[in-house]
Amino acid sequence: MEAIQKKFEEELSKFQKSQSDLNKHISQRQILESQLTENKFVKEELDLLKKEDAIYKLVGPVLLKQDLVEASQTVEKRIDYIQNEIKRHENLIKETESKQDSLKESLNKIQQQMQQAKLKTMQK
Amino acid sequence: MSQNFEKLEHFVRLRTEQENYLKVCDQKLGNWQKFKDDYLTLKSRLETLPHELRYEVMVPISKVAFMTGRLVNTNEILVLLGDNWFVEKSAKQSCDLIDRRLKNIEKFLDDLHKEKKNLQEQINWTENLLQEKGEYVNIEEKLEDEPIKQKSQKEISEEEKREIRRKLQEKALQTSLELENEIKKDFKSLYKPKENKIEKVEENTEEEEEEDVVQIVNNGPNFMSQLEEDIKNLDLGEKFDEDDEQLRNLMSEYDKGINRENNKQIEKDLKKQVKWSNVEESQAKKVENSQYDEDDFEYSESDEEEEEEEDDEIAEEYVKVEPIKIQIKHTANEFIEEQDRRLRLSREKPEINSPADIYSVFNKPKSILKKTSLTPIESDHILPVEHKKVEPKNAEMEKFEPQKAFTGEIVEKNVISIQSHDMGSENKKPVSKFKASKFSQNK
Repeated sequence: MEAIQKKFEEELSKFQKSQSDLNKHISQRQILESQLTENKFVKEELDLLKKEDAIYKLVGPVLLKQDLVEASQTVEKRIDYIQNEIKRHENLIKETESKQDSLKESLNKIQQQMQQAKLKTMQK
Repeated sequence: MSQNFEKLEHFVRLRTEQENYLKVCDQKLGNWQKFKDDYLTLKSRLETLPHELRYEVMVPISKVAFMTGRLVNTNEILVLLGDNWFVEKSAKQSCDLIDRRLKNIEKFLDDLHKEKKNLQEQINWTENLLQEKGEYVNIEEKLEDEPIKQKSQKEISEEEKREIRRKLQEKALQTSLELENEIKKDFKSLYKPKENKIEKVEENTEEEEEEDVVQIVNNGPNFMSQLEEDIKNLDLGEKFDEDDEQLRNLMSEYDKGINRENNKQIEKDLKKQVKWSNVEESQAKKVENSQYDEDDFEYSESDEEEEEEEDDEIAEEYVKVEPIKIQIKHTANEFIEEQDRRLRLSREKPEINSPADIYSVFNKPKSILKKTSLTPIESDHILPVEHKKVEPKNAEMEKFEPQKAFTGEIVEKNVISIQSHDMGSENKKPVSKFKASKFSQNK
């Protein structure tokens, strides 16, 4: 009976951990999505710009002047990077979900075992 | 009602959740609306800003502190594009930028409005449900409908079954007619004018419902002809010859009567004529029991083989177009069946007053081609002493289809063969000493 309870507690902690991981991954993914949309918007604006206009990048408290071409390239690279990050996070999310399901099943089994043990003790 | 109450709770909870979603949606809507308003004011400011070169303003230097200052470079505006990217633009260009951003905002706003509509509809639906739940009780009816549906389905299936049976019977008749036509050409010489009835009997024998039919078909149309010849060779008297037609009529009718639909009528008709009903019923039972008995007495395999062998032999005989010598191989299975049937008949004390009674006593088969003939043991058991005279005449007949009733003659020899057969192969049901002694007496 005690052994079963211990098992149950272990499984439960694992399950909670996996759940927290899942939440982290999901939130991270949301952030990345927002960044993606932002950068896409920046790219649109940069495309509209002519070469004359001055482009500044904020690095810390400093505004650094940038070239249009360079700026557009950096923004594109950043967009790609963010997309890859999103994919990675999606995979992580799937894995954690599957882990969670397996942990759920094990938890259920242990619960059943506990119930059976309880019944036995009751009968006794 | 308890179930209803539980479901009510669920729906109440659903309703609350839906309301929460609606609140979130409203919040989002408020936010975006605010952005939109801010952008509009900004735009208006930008439009007026470049009208003058300098502005004197109160510049805020902290939360609550201001100081006088001038606003210069009214046309140079740094616009935040996002992700820490700034671009310097003129007032007019920034106005255009603002317009583009406003477009996006309006897109978001539209989506949020649609979402809000959907949520509202869902809320209304759940509200209606809750009201109905409180007023009506619906659930019980559904359970009743299901068995009715099942019944209707069953009924439909039965009707379909009947239709299928009819169709199959029609097909069987057609195929049997074709087969018979082919065989007729070969055996026309053997046949007598009464062939037609035989054909009918044969046609009727082919019915899917009874497995024995398949085997009987092999025996084919020749069986009846040979049967007739054997009957005539018996020299039992004119009575029996006269009864041939009756026989065939009855048998044909009975075969037709295998259709369960017609069975009752035919049985009635038969009952009017002769005591066929008992025999027929017993035969029907026998046919049914044959399969059952096979399972019980574990003769199935060997019996089937024997039957198949018999069929093959008989078929071969027919092909040869020779005078018919039918070899009867009585399987133990048949023994049992016929024993049972004999017991029944013996209890009933059948009196054999005419040759027709012989047949009735000897278990008229459902169809001529079926193996419901009496075993020699059984026949001896039932036959009175009178028939023993008949037996030696047909001693020549060694081979006879087990289904046919002329076991009297055949009985003797078959008894020996059967006894030897039993002795040899199947010892599962040994012949009773009583019957064995009887056979020995008959010899």
